Amino acid sequence: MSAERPRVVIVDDHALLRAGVRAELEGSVEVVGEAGTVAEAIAMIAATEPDVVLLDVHMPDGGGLAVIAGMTAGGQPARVLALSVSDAPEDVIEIVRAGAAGYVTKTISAQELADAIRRVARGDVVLSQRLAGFVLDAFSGAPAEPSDPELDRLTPREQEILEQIARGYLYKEIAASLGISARTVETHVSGVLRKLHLTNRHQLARWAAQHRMVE
Amino acid sequence: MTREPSLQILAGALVVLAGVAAVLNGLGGPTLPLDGAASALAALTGALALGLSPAGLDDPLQEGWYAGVASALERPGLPAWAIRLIVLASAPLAGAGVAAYALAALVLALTAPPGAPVRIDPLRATATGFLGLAVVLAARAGGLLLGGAELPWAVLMIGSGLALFWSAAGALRDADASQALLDARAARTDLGLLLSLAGVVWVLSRAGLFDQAGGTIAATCAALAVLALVIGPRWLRTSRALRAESTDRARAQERSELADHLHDSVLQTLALIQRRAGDPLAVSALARRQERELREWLLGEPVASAAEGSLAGALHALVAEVEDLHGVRIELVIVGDAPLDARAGALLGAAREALLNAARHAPGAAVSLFTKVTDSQIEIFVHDRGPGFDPRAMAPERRGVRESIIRRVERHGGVAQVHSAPGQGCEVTLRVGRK
Repeated sequence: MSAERPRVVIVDDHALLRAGVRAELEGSVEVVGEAGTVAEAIAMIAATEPDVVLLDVHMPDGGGLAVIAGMTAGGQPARVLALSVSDAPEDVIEIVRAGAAGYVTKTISAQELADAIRRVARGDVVLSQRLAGFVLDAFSGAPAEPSDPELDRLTPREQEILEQIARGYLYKEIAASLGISARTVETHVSGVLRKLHLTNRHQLARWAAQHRMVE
Repeated sequence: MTREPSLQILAGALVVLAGVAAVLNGLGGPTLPLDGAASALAALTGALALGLSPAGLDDPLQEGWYAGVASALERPGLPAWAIRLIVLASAPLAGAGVAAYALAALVLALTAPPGAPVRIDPLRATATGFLGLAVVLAARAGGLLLGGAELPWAVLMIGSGLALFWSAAGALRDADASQALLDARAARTDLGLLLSLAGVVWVLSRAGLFDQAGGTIAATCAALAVLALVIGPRWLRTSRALRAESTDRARAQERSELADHLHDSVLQTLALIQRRAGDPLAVSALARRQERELREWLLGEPVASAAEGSLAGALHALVAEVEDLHGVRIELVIVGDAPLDARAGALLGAAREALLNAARHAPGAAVSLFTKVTDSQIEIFVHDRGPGFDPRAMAPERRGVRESIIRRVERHGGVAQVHSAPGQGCEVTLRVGRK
């Protein structure tokens, strides 16, 4: 895996957006393919074996979730960074729970997007400010049906880190203010994402339904 | 309905002749020698000739044996052959089975979905009448018939009258028919109606109903029944057409509302963006505002008013306002919510001041507003990644920060802090208890 110039496949049903993202990423990553449909994406990913798949959440024929399912079925190890215009919590939570290593909105700057891709390619996760807020909200208060206290609750340290992300701080700034290494911050964030994958699904689904909001 | 005009005229003439003969017969005038197997055979031959003519066979919609009624009515537990058997078995009962079959064929054709070709054609309907008559006469020749000698004529008259009526009414569905055709159809409608009414009246008078005390009531009921037969299917079809039309209208209205909205908002914004293409800040502010409006419109409710009187709703509105005024982009994250009381309002005012400061002193920098509401307190963090400054060296004339932010929060028992250093951005922390 080449962490400096990760190999990327862009999946989005809007050709204009693919072209725009490709132009923005020129030089910082290596775009090895583009796909406009779910079937095309699965075939393209199998053919090019990229490090990172930049995946649109909303597409015809099942959207990003279908692509992740197809990758899993095909044994593709590529990591997924979800990219969407939707900030609806249920979309964000669904795609991350399906296995995406991160979520960013389409209004992200080119620099931030390249950073996020590199971070995902390294094996880390990307938790946007908004996603951090969703996770904090979803895990706030006592779970309605506590099935596993380890998974249904955030540790104080995890909560602290998520809050700092939501406030707009970078990992290295968080690490400095908490007196820990940036690596440890990454580990905590990965842990949060793992909890998101494993925790009681009903609680999260209910939360997302209650918080259907655009911004 | 592409039929040979000559065949259609022939069928119509036969029906009229039959009706005239029936009327004459009923009035005691010259009677036709139609008793016996020979006349039945003649009628059957005529019916087959009409019904099975090439024009009658080229209808691709007919999947069944005759008019497709039995196949259409087929249900689990009620196979088509059983329906056919019932129709045939009840034919001698004054033509009941035949009449029911013809009626079912009419209803099926008329309740076909709009847009489907009309299934009734006068030729086939006439043939049905003849066939029914032939069955009845044959049964009578075999001594199986119930009812008087004139009944077959009455059945024929009513059946062909209805067939005529409905063939014309069905044809009226064609939107592109010329006025002359429509007039001819109207004449056919009237004639058919008249024929069937006359048939019914005749049956009733023969049965002696008009001589009894309740004769008028019976006649009225019969007339009403005929009217119901005549009007019912037409009413069904009209109401279905109306429904389809109102759906179309609703769709058209929705479309025009969408067009109006896109024109008023998106197209206007795009025009503005083209005119101000040289001003990146203005372009991004326009795009941002349009994006927010479109999202609210698509969701069907303005985000701010959805949470009227709540801190979260007020924060959404505040962020929108500052973004529009200063062309900055503010990342808003809210965890929890609280009613907009005096304390929350003070915090909101301070947050507004902090956002304006960030927009003023850190133009183009990323600005974040994070709000966390717990049971005991409300916290708001306004963070920008601008150039930063040394708070200790803050000029005393910068009243905004001291008065509008720190004092305002302190008056409500809260705490406000400003963290900043040159090159490290700035964060304003606002905190107030809820009790």
